[in-house]
Amino acid sequence: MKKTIKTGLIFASLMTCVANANTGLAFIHGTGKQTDARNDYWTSEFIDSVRQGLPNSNKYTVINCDFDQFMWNENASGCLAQGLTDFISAQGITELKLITHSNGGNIVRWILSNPTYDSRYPDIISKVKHTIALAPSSGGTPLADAAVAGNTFETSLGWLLGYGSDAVKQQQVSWMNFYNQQWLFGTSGRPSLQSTFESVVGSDVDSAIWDGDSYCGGYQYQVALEVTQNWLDSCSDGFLNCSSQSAAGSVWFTDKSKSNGSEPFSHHQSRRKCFGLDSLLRNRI
Amino acid sequence: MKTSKTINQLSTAATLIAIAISCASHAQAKNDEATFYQWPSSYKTDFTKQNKKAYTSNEYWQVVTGAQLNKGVKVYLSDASTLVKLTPKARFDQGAVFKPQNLELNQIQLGNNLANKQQIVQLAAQKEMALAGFKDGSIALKVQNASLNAPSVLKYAQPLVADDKYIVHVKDKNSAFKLNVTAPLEIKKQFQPQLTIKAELTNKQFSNTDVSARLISPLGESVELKYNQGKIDFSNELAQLGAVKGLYQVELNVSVKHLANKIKRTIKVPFIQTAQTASILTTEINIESNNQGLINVNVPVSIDQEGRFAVKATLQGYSLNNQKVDIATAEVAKFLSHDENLTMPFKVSGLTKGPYSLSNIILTDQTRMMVLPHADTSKAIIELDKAW
Repeated sequence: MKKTIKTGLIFASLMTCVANANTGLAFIHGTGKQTDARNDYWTSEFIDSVRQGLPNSNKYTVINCDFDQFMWNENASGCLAQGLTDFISAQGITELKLITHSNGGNIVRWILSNPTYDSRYPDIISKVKHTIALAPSSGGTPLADAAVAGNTFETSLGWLLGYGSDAVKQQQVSWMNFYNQQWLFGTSGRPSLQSTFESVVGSDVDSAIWDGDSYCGGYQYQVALEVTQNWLDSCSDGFLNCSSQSAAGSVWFTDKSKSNGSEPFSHHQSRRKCFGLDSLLRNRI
Repeated sequence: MKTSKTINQLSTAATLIAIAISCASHAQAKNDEATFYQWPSSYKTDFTKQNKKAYTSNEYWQVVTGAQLNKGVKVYLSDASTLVKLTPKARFDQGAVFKPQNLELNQIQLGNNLANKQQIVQLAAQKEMALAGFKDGSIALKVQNASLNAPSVLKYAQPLVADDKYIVHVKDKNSAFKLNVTAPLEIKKQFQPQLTIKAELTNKQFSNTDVSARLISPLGESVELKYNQGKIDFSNELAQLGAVKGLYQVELNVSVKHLANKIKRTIKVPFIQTAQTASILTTEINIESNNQGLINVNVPVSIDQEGRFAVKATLQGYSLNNQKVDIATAEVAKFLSHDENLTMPFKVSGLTKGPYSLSNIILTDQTRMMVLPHADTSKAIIELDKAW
């Protein structure tokens, strides 16, 4: 009898273990060509904290692709599709959760909205259950318009937009509107995305020298984003207006409503372990 | 022996790498495979494409030379608090790139002849702008109490290379003068294409002579255009179809006198050119049901140019109490080099019956990224029962 119970318990544990072990998490960076996004884009501190929310914290991947290209480019969405396909296959993932930042949200929406564009997409779409888009550039940004208006050799907004001009061009407000209207789901008047796509909106930039919170993620970035905020609406994270960040899917929360100390997330801080963002994500996934 | 073994190992590794590269090659280019996807539930695929979009500009930009900046360039501010960004503009000459010298914030002067003291609030030197992400050498300044009644003069004190070019970008965030433009998102390919737009400046009229325009292709080529009461004629056929390489843009520059000042606005209006690269023969759509939960819909596609095409549609039928219902929405795509039938194998629950038809049919040219004109319904077909 004892042996039977023991066997049953072991079996039940194994089944539970198997069921939970099929949930995977992918971190998808924003504009830029990444080869070590774990350290260069997100920080290990952030990733290692967030992934503790998984049933099996080892079932995660950090994507490295060339998001300086148009979102439909093989080196952008094609690379993302391959990375997710490899992860699903290698880890036996049956339920996939995604955390994106900035333009990464657009590339995910490209895949979710165009299931037959690439033979890898249908399986990925069937596995994706939940996307948390941190400060997504769903509606573009006037800063991209400002950069392209200059039409300079380096049409670059550096770490914000990357040196690749195609990604910068694509994120102009009028261009993102075009792609939202004809090629992407999830914005107003368009079909909904078939899995949860929720954004975290950053609404301000704090860069007071006497305020310790301004140093989270790097004080120099806060100062810089206060500069770029002059081109934007008062509700913005220094790179994106709140309206752009909330244009697709639903809004999970706007920074101050849930962050520690009601602190805002600048566009840089929304990919950092700042003001409890990591624990909010950990609990959400 | 050792060398031979090493060579064999290298050869195997090379083979494996080659196979890996081959497998990782663009999955869209598998010419003989169709990709099919059925949504978990049906939805309305008909979005009557809006072919007009409204745009607004509260800014302008212009290219000036180093010589002009040293002499003084008139800038026209229409808001008490204005942003001005100065950016070096690289030039290409005989295959080489020449970048102008960078600008120092403390060398900028902005003045006018009026009594009111407009102030430059130094916003960001090149270093701060670089940290903000403008790594193109931009500097930015904010102007408080800007003069609205007369132009200001922007001057750079330190000598610059005369032929070097710079972009002056003025943003009047809260200005009462906004350029509003409504324009189509698509134009059909034709020998002499034309774009018709509606452009208005709030609180100000302007005429054709106040407007200059240019066309910027997706590849960055630029050509001057003539603007005539909202009509823009392109002198040559446009080369690019669809959105795959980016969008065409018409850039409008409006400059109109206002008292002793001017109102200047620049706006870019994006669009694509479309052509009928394929069509669906809707009268020849064939629907077959095996009465075991699978309904095959064969959609004949006739092509004018080869490419990857997708058909998205909703299968309609009847509920068991004879109500017309949407059963499922699905899409199939395949690279076509000749006319072909695309098959959509709808999986259905069995609680519906025929006659079946397709509705909300959308044909897409994925290669060029264009949604093609189409007839959006097929006639109802009584299912052919087949035991297969």
